[in-house]
Amino acid sequence: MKRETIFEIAYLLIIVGVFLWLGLGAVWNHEIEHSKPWGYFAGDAFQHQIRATSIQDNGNYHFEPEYMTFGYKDVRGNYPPLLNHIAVQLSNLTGLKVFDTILFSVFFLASLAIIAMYFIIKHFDSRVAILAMPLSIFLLTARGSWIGFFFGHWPAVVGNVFLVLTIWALLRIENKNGWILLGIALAGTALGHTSEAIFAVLLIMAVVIFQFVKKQMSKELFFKYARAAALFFVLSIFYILIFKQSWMATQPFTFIVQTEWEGGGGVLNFKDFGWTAFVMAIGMIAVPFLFRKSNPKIAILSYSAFVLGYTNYVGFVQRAFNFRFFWPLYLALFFGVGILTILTIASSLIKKQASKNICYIVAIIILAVLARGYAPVQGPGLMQDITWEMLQWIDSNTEKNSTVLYLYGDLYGQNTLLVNSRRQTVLVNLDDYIGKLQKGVVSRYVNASLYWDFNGGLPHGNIFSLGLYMLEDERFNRRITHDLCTFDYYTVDKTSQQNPVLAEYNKAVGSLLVKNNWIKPVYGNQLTVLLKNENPGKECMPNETKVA
Amino acid sequence: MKQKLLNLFFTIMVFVIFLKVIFYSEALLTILKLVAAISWLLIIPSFFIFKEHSLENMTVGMLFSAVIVGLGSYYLGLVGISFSISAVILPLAVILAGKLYNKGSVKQENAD
Repeated sequence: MKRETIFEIAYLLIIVGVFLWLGLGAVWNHEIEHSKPWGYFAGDAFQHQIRATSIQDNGNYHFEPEYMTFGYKDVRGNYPPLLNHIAVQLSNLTGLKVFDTILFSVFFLASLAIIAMYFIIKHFDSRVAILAMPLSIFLLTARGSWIGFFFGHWPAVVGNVFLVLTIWALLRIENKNGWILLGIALAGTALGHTSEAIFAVLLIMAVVIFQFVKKQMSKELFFKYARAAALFFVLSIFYILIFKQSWMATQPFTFIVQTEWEGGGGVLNFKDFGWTAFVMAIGMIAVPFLFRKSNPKIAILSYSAFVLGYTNYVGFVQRAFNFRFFWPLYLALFFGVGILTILTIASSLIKKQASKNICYIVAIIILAVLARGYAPVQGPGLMQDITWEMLQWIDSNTEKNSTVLYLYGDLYGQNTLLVNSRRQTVLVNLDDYIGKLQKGVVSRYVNASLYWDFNGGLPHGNIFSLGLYMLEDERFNRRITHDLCTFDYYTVDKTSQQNPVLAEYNKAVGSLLVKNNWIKPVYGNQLTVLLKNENPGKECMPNETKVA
Repeated sequence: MKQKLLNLFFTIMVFVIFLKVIFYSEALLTILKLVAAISWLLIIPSFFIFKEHSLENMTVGMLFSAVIVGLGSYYLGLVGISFSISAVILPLAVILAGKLYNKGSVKQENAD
């Protein structure tokens, strides 16, 4: 093996090594196997983990699990399926839990995308590629970026991974059979996260327009694009049909300008790149002047990626922010060019050329600077041992069709984590609950929400004309009043660090319930008591009871 | 072929060491299981997708394998084929498809 190749491999291992060390290694305490979902910092992460686990249980993704669909058993699997299936395969082969393999897969695929982007840029200029790569650490260290990994925007991350692959394949469309690779990569993007496929199509269009303008679009090349499109169509049509009738029906394109992601999704802005933004600006200006002989398509793709990141101003809303998660890779070319331009100016002063070896040294120094001080998340995440044990107990010991009412709990704001019980999950509405507390009463009728994953609208029926339960079932007015006496189980959190008064109120509700000899504690730990109602529907308390 | 197997062995060994460094608190057995699974699903198929072996081809080959494994498991599951079967046939399908693909394709251009 050539010395140059060994240097290259070592360098890339350092780049992805730092990314994995700081990203997954640090949060996972440098372990892979955990006893509970570890490193999950928002409800979305649990949503993917629970869905993937249900796919593992069922052996397929025909339907969504009923504990995520208001009890409906025939809701078609409508979430982009790629990541979940990779995670299940890895879990089955290794014996690791899906909650470990799914997060590992996200980081591992992102690492591969970093290396793939290095080689994309290498076909532009090898020194630029070396100098560009330190920016990839901004996938983690830039404000708003790490959220993609730890808040659970995993499908978006994976969609971007395969968008990088699509770019790689696009640059090889002229190779014989190159259209096959482009079709597969595009299908991977669509089934990884469908909105990234729209960005992929826009990037392909940018290159196609360039080829038309430069009169490089031969009949043969045109047919290669057509074949790639046909292959993409064949590989993804089944899922696209579901997606079109579910997600695109519930979240249609509307022309609104959005500059912040409501709900804390995390937005990476160009200014968040700090001083590297100035370097990238230099690179953007320098590319047409200094790299006329390099592959122009790579530069066009990078300029286009910069512009597409701002499509939140033309109605792409949070999907533009999803795309920006990977700006540190899409714009890395400009960073590399900017640094090389600075190095070239500096080296002309000392009359020494910036060799590849110097580029490696400079790149590693930059990587150290960019990675310095990164520690946005610490600890195991939202899931506490004690809560995980309770959810596992419910999963193992309660009837499959039972419904569990969760009174107030500190963690329950991120209610998706509770669905790990794999039971119908109902959570008291906090405003109503606090209102009753302030009135000093326990009411038999409480305002509460049944958990369901509403994004796809719960599609069902024939694949060519899906119905949406969300539009058909009036119960989807989510905050409806429930009779406390009708639930099968109740969780009563006895303590609270955030709201001790609410924990006391929980106990008051719980003690009223257990006055009935058919409602009994069946499980307990330091935090929670689980009560079982053996006669759901039987009157268990007066309409209103005064409490101290 | 002998060179290919040597490269494959070298790649897997580097991968084991790499993961053991990042996840130094994890038992070696777990790392070996994970590397074995990734090797079967992604690394070995990637060696057959392209004629020429290089880090670039291996990296994108692994990503293509990931697409085919993910997509294939999804569709095979829908027609009733279990994960345990798709875990066997999908990597084999990638290897076979890679061989067919290479039959008709010219050498991958690796500029630079």
